[in-house]
Amino acid sequence: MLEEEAGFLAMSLMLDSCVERARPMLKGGMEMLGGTLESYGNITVSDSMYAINQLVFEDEALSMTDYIKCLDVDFDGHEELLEKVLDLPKFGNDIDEVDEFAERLNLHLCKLTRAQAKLVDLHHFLIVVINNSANITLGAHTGASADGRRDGQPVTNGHTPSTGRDKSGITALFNSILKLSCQYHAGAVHNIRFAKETLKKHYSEVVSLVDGYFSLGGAQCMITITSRDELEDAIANPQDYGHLLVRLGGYSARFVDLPKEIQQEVVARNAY
Amino acid sequence: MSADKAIVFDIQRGSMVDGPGVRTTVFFKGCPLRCAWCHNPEALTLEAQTCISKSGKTKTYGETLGFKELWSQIEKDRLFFEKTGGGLTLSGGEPMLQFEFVLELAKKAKKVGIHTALDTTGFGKKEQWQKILPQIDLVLLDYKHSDSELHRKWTGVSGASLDLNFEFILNSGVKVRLRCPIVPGVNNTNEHFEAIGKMARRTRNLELIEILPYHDMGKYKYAELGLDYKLGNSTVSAEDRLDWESSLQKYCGELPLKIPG
Ligand code: SF4
Repeated sequence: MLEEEAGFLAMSLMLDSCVERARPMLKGGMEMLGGTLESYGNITVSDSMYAINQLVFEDEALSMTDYIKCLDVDFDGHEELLEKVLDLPKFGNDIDEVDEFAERLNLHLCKLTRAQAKLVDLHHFLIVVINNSANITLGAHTGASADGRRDGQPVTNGHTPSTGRDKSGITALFNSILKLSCQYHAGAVHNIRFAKETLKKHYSEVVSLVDGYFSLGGAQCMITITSRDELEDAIANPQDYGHLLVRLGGYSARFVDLPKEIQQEVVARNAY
Repeated sequence: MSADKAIVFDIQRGSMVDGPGVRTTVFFKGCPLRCAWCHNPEALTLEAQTCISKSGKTKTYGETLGFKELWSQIEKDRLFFEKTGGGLTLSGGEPMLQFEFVLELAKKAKKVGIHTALDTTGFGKKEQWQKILPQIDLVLLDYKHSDSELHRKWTGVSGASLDLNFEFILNSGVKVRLRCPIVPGVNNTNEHFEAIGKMARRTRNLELIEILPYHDMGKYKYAELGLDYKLGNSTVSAEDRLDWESSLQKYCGELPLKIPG
């Protein structure tokens, strides 16, 4: 299709095989031609699979039909179920039973896509899980999901946990990510957020931690530094910030559990 | 509590504030002290406590865990401990209150080569300290007040009652990080700062003097638990810290000192 619109002749001139064969890139000039297919919201799906498996099959708490009915009405009138679903463990907390669903889905998508190479007339056809911000757009058009995501909310980005659901610390998050095979896809994004203070005070620990992640087989890691604005946002939308910890020696608390006044104080002091 | 069961109120993985590197901090429930500034009042009793948080959610502080259950949590981050020079921190509360369990944990960690720090007030029997110190790589020793009676006034336990253990720990040769909470109106005095310097010099293997400036972020937990918060609204300003810093520099000048900014 692309070939009909543009022949990429200038680019073809730069490629040995095109010149040798005297053919444009997309008309048999290339030795090897590969392509990718992107998948979105993988973790939304795998967390949903876990939730369904747990509630419908393990606990027999409700039937699949009833579950679907609740999703169709965006959990409206089923707040109890919603709470239960949200309380279920999610990807990103180093819990094998949950992470296993993410890996199963990952392998399934990778292998299924690779197997279609012939069909789409390519030498390689691989999945990518990168998403940029399309997870927000696509989420806006996607109804409620079985992991407790409401109608229209973003689906997950890349191989990143559902926002605010990784509550067990950075090492647990890295361990979860490391369970996802990366040799069969053409790239996946793992967003990690560090608080600015953490980086300032514990630079060498953060560096050795990220180093460690890569030496244990980590393939990619997209680091964002949490700003003050984001902390302010955490006060307004605590549900998205389950991972934020208040870091003080010997002190046990999670940012989102703190009453508003204290959260404001933490933001003001920037001492999380 | 026994060697195969313990009550803990939190497990923090990926901690960078409870000893070197990246650590898993286990917060053991139960403490014989009653520090007026305690930021973990949910740590005090040895029983689980259920309360209703401000947002109306039921919360339970304290979970009884079996040895294997807890160990499997700790083991998960072993590779990150190795990569970052981190390890396991036993904190609380006062972990020595669940001595049998804590000892087993420290032994196990030692056996498999996980660096272990013990965050303690120095409480416990001498024999217990004799048994546990060889298993510990770093003691995070709280030094709260240099005046024995004021120590009793502010923590419920006299300073003198901890003296022998302090002596033993400081002389043992085990690496010690002196952790000094500084609370305005309680111990922000020159005498105490001087005493910190003295204490540090008495330590055979001092790693660091770590100043923990008072904060009242534990206050809301008192309200949840229906406990009285005895300290008022004393806050630590940037100027206070500067004052302390110059005073501490005077008494601890040549020693490794850390005051968080
Ligand atoms: S020793 Fe620690 S846990 Fe115990 S009361 Fe004092 S501050 Fe709280």
